[in-house]
Amino acid sequence: MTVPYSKFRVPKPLSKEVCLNTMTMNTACRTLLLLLFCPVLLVAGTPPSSNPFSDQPACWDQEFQALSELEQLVETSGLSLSQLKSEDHPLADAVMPDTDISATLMGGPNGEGERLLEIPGFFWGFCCSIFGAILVYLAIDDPVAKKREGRQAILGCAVGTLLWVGLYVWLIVSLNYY
Amino acid sequence: MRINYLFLLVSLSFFPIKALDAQEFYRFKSDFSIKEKESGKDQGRLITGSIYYDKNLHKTVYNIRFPEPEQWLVRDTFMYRKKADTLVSSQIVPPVGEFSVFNMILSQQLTDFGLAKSGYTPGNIQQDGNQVIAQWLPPEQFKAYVGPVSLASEQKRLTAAAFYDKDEKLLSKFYFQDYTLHQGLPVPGKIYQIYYRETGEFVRIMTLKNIIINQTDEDHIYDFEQPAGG
Repeated sequence: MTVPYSKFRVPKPLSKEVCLNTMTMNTACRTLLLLLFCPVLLVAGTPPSSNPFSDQPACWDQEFQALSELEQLVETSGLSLSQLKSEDHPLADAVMPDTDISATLMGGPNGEGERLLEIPGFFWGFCCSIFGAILVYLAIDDPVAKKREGRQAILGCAVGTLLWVGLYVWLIVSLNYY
Repeated sequence: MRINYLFLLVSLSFFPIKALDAQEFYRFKSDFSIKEKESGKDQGRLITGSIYYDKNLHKTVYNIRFPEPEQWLVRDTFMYRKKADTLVSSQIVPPVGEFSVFNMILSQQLTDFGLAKSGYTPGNIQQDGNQVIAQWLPPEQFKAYVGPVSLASEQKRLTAAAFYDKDEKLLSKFYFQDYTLHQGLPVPGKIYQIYYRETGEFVRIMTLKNIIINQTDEDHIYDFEQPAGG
């Protein structure tokens, strides 16, 4: 059964009051961080299909034939890339010259220095408070980007803090009133 | 006084859940390989090695064999990089451990990709052959920035996930295959990640082999000491 994607939507959004009461700072941070490691904010996007899971993942294996051969060679021989290059092994050409593996391994700091994991500094500050602002300052190398994103992170931190203090005060007042 | 009772009730209700959670699956060890490349390009990237993750200690160790032998030690937001037992660098990183697929596996959150814990709410559920496709909606506060997520599952195991932006355009997909059971815990052996960029598809394939859950030896690796000078 194929269902148009547009029919998936549930026309029943949660009210603002319900969300503000149920969402915690921790939940907000988890949401943002989940998205960081599924970098959906980094990319442009293509229109949705009726069934998004109709691909045959094995097709991608064919595109990775050279890397798969290299993987098997490495597994059996235990050779490193520099050793393969020194032997002038043809499979060494399957690997990019850039050996920075941090982004692959853990979505580390962006080498281009524009934004930390392409997330605006404001949201780092808003969701992770002062911790997020410190992360932005420490992780961005480019001085111009560091200044810009750092300012945004501090602004986000201030707005987030005010919001949560306001919510806390409202909660206390509400509980005392009733 | 009412707020004190409320606080007490909330605290007591959370305690046993946390305690039980910490006692079950807490260690993950596996050999891994990551292959990635942009579509249409000849060259890509390959990383092989083994990973040790301890959920309770919040420590992750990557013993990398390829491209070059090195060790990455991650504790919370600190990462130490060692080559031949010598500290090469240290840096602040996002708290990847808690949001890694290894943590999701151990916490048994892989069935919903950790979305429920992140504040997403389930929407429509559709059956398509053997697949059950469920849509998850983001928290109200994030609807201006992110879109829904579709999850496909078979026999209560997550087989695929699709992420959309706020305009409901497809951004990335994950496929989870070759599940095996380890101490009753289903672990995918192969994970495909496809990112749809302006320049084309970017594909990453992760394989996991020789998986060990709750390993009781090699404590010195799981609970590594902070490297001198780090």
